[in-house]
Amino acid sequence: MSNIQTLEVPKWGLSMQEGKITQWTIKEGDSFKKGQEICVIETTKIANSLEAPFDGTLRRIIGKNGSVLEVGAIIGVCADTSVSDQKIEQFIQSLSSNKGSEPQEQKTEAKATEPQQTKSPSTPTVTTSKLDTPTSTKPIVNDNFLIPSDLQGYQENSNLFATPHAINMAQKHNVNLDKIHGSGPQQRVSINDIQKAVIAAGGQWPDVKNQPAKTPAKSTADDSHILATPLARRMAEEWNINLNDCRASGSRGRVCKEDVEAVYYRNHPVSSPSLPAATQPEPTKLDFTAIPMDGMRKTIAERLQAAKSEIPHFYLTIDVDVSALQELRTDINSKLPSVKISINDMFLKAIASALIAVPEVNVQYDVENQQILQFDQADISVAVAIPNGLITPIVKAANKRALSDISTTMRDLATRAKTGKLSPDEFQGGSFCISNLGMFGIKQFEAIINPPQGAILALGTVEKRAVVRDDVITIRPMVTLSMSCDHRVIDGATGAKFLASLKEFVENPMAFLA
Amino acid sequence: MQETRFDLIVIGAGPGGYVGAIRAAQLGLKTAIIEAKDLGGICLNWGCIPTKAMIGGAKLAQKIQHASIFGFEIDNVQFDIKKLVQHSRTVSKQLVAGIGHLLQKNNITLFKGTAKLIAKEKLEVMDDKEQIQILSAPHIIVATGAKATTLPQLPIDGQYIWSYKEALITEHLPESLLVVGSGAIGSEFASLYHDLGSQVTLIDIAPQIMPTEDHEVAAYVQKQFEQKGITILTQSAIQKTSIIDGKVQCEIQTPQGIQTILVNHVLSAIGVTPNSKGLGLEELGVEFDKKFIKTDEWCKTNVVGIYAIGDVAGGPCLAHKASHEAILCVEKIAGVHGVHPLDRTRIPGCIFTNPQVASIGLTQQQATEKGYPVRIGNFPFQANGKALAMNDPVGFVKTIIHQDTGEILGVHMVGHDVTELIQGFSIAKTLEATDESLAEVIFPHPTLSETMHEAILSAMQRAIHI
Repeated sequence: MSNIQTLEVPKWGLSMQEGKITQWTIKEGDSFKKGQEICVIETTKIANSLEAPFDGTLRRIIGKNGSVLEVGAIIGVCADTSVSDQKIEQFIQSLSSNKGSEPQEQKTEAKATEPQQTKSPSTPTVTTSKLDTPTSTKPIVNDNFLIPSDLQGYQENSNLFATPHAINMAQKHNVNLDKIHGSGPQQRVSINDIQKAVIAAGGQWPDVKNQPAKTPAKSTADDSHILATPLARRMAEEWNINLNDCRASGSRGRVCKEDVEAVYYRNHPVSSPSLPAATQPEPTKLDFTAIPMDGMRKTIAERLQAAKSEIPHFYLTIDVDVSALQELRTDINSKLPSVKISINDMFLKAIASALIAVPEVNVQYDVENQQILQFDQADISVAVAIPNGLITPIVKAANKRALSDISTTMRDLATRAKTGKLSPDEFQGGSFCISNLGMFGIKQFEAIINPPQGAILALGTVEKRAVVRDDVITIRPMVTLSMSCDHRVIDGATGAKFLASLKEFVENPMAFLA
Repeated sequence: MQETRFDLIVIGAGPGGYVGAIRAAQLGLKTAIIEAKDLGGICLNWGCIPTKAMIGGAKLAQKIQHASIFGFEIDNVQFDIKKLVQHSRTVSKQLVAGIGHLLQKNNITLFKGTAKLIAKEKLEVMDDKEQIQILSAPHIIVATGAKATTLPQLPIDGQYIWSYKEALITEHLPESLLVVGSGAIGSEFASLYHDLGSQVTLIDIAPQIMPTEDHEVAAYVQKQFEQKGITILTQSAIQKTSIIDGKVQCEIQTPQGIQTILVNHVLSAIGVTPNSKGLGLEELGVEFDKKFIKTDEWCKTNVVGIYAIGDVAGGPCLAHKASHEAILCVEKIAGVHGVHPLDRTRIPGCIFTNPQVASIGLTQQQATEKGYPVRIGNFPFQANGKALAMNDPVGFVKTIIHQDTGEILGVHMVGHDVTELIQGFSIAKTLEATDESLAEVIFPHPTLSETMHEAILSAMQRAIHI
């Protein structure tokens, strides 16, 4: 029993909550060495290879390719080939019954295109058990207890590690404790473990009163008020240990390092292995550089591929005169030291106003429920270039914010986008998107819609152009705006109406200030 | 003229500026740094580092003088200050080159020239060929440092009347030297020139030397200085200087009346003035506090996108304070979690005189003025085995502990290498350790650091070796 080991989603860094299994590099039945890369796990920040923490043989993959699992969730079960498939199944069953719900399926990302695993964890174990051992002994039925034959055979002097109550009951009902997986500390077998194993193998074991708690209780109470040294608090956070569960042996009743370690080693009897870096063979020199796609690059590739191929884009272009905008900007900036408003900030405000005026454009397409979500406020995503891609922080409720507020918010969001310090709610969502390449001198371009949003506006550079005003050719600072619309939710005329409204706001900025 | 856009620009590559630039680059910001003179600022070129090289020489002179205690009889000692200066300059150059390498390694763009803000988020850099380049960034950090303050009656001529700069590159050891100002800079030069063999007079307008230090420390150092032959005049001000026959005649107003002395050189070390002029700050409406740039707890000025750190943003004018502000300012901009504003009671101060002075936190007087109930601990190096063995039994460690909470309010040390010891108390203060927790620490024997332990124990009425 004790030689079944599990592989879990590792915790890479403080903010990691869950990981997506992108690729197993070994398959069921393969044996691996400690330190060998066995699967690729992607977080919101990185994709990294999980190195095997021990030598072993992979028997079952639980976290299938594509599934998203919480940190600490079991992704694979390992045991050497001497352990029967049946025991592996029992073990897996005990896992899922421990959790109370199926751990892996609920978060699997869409498309169930994964090939069916040859041995599903839900395969009834009773049938396989019959293949394994000939049913020479009859099942024992005793006061509603039914012990399957292959679990029978209590042995007094084996190296049992079980609770006294479990030993008593095993003796009484002739259960072979060697065949039961213990879930307690050091894999100590409890009554509960026997019950699970018996039921899993097709037997009966009624609930017994006064049975010990299933697992050592873990405190979930807020531990922020618990006195602890800085080091102890940090270690507890890293290991997901609640300070309420720790002794406080430090001076002045503080939890110290030793106390947190005590809890950790109680929960992890085998000392956690360090992960040595696998040695890579020197690659042969090529006349190009292969740049691996990181998590963000892959996300961009996937999302935009999907967006451009699935969404019926159409494009509308309009030229706007920004002389009034520039004048107002110069005026504000020269009078107030605490703000520096950019043309982009002013466009944000004008767009927000136009989105409220023409709400049919301020939408998301809810494909699943076949409905259009029209928003009350303008949450504008702004594409910001960062070294290895781009990110779209959101200026929320831009219609309700003062220009100075939009400007300050944008400055902060853009800087933090570059340093990777945005929180997910700051870049996920948004009811409309803008992309500005004006600073690079781009005159006009069409952007790809960022679904589920219904439209994106591409801003070109401000340039002086010869335009006709009152039949006279005159020089004006102009910007070309191109809007890409999803025709499924926005029609041509609606888009045109929005651009006309936007042009009005841009050319008469007092309207959006008022 | 091409505008070059960055995420962050730092003006000045001293210990504030270059540290801030490196941190910004580490955090992923496209960063530029502008320096008008040499990388490393005053600290590396004309301050902290070259003076330490000179002090190395002074220390050796003292060792030679007391060599017979250890059995060495050293005759016919020859000293050539030019060689010492050369050593000092070599060390500076080496470190300056190191900064250049660090900037390069972090992909920071260096612009050599003088910066001037011309608009919000925009500045121009003029190089020595008067070529102008325009740069812009949403975040611009001013880290231009400070320069020596001058008095009208003490105009620095570079020949007779020196600033720290001339004192660092002299070609001959002055027979006599008057040092005006007994802060860290003045005291260090007074001590080192005395130890090298000059006849030194040190004056200060304040009632004690090292005016910001604890009274007890200042009084002790004054006694030590006087014992070794430095003349000290406190509450004294220079009135007039005139050059007579290649010497400087100085009229000094003392409590006892006007005193006239004749010296080879005068070193003006009355303090520093921030380099805040000519940067275009006034035009943009940046607010000042006297000549220092006014900033909030995150080093932000009142003008959007302009920040100031280090000496130019106010005292204490210390390199490590500038570096610390650089980090917190940049991390705040970058959105790093858990950034704290500067806690001025946690800035250690070091004066590399002989004996050295190191301190952190409140002086006893400040603690009393703030109304804290205090316990004072004190332990002399005279009772420390290592200090006696090394023949450096000078000085003491004084601790100021909050009576009730055990908080370490202040620590003041005088003695050999105390500048290397003070960091123990910096760590303790940052971790908010109490006297109780420091009492638990195991200090190694035999070391000078045992005095730190004993001084804490002393404040708890349980010192062992006294």
